[in-house]
Amino acid sequence: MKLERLKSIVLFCLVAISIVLTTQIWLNISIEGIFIMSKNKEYKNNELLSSDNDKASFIKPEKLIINNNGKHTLLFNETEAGMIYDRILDDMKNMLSVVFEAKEGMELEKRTLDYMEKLRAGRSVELQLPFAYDYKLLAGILGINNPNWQEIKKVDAVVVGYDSNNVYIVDKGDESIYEFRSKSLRSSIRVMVDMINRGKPYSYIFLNDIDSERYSDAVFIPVDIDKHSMPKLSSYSETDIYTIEDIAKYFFEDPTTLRSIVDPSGTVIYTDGENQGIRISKSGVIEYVKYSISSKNDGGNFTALDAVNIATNFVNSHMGFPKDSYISSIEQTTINNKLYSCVIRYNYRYEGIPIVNDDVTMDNPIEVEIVNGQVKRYKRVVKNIKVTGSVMSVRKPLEIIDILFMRLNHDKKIEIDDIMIKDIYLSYLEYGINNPTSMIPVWVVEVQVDSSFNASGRFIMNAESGVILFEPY
Amino acid sequence: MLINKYGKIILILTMVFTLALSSVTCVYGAKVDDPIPVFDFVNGIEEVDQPIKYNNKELSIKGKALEGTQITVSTYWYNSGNEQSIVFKEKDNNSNEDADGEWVLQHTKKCKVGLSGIFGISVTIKPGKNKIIVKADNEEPYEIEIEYIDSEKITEKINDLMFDGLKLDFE
Repeated sequence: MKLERLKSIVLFCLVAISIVLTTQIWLNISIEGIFIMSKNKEYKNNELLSSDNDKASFIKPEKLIINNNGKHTLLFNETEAGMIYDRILDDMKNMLSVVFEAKEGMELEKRTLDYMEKLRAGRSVELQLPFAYDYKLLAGILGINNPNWQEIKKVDAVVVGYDSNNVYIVDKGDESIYEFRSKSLRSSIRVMVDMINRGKPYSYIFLNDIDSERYSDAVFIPVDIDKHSMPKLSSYSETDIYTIEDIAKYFFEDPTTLRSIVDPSGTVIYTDGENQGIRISKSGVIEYVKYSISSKNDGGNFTALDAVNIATNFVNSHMGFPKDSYISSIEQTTINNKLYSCVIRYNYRYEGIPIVNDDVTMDNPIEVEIVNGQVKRYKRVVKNIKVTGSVMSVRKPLEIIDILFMRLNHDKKIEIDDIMIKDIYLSYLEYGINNPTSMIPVWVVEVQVDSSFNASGRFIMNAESGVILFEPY
Repeated sequence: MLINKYGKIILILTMVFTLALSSVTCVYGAKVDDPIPVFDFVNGIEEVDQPIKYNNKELSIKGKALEGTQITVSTYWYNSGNEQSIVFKEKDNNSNEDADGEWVLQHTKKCKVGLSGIFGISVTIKPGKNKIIVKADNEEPYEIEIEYIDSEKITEKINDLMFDGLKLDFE
């Protein structure tokens, strides 16, 4: 009898231990309780910045979409889902590395771009990259220097079927989808997606499914967000946190030996008069320039991957990256078929929502230009963000699109058929002249107008009222 | 004592069976890819095989109509009057509705189409047979039948059936 009792207790303990350990493996967290995630720390001033970032951590999607048999969800890298978001992203990167490195046991099937419709109708996770990465560059950033499958030129998106663990690389330029199947492709994405689905996320729809002539395939909106609200934020520029001398010290060992000039707008310029200088504006724009860089194309082995390494290391050691930074574009210039210069741009998000600076023309808050393997120019306008007590409700995106059509059609007399909505997404916009500056939730709508009247570009609209705050002119 | 011994064996077997079944339902779910049609009141709607099999509780109704059109989406659930029916086992049975059953109105949602020419409404459905009717002012309404298979419910139901009345006290 006692033996039976002992056996029962041992069995119970074993089951309990297996549940706890499995939870740990799945969530990779310390035990605070089963399925209870650790609370995020409160960030103090500039703890948001970090300087030990690996370049692979800057591969982040523009949109991370979960497709579940006809239901679609957009996943944000926010506090509540951040751990799951990171886990899905890590798994997808690991699977990509397996594909890039695979020599045996990997089956490849090339499909047309139409297959995307089928992938979206099934159960898959879709990682839409912010721009089309060069295939070799993407592999290089992930640490694979000589990847297989070099017939793939660009990577616009990566899709993983989370039941099959098949990996799909989407090259829109080539109008192809490369499907990879292998037993070595494994992930915990299905478990992560199940956890997301239990949280009852918003349902989204692709508007190009309804009208492909008026909406691009990037237009992906929530159907019902009646009670959705977002907090208002406030932002401080880096010049409010650091003194000008402290900022200058990141670039020069002893700024006191430099020439400094203060222009009428309050912008401070430090220069050694020969090689390099920095400009620090009152609004927080910091710009470093190196004057003495050879204009000849003598960088024989200089590659885009080198440029990413150099830029990432430079930013790491010169004021660091804000939390949730990612590479938003890479622009390459070649001379005589050799890479001459490369501009690497980085963006960042707050709670998964992108930030639009008060200078709306500077889309990317961090920009590094590499010429012949050296940093020629480095510009940044990074804000330290705080949550305020107030919140704003968010208007439905279809209502926002209606307001926009009204503006273009009724006020600007543009034919509806000439308008194409390229994208629509929520952002935070710096608004006002006070210090700290307010940051309000906005809908950003990217529009292309095919007519003589040029109204193409980005419209920024108050997320609550729908009032147009900025439009192209 | 004997019950306990067998109870534990049954428990282990049931757990294995349930896990196996839930993966089967998931795989089945993965194969389901009947798309929900776009309710186009301008160009017409594509023919789809009905009932459409669907694995989510929430369903997005999307479509196209002229500016100013009032759209009404009504959701009905088929109450077969038979509590035990959680899955429609045979496809052919779908048309032969239970004589005691009836369609019960669940929700009605409305919206007005703006200049975008697009509407989108999210509705929830119940396990079993559902009917969605989408009306647009004076147009002929569209009607689709959706069979919602809730794999979690199936697993839950099997667990209930297996464990109900089974004493599993560890003594």
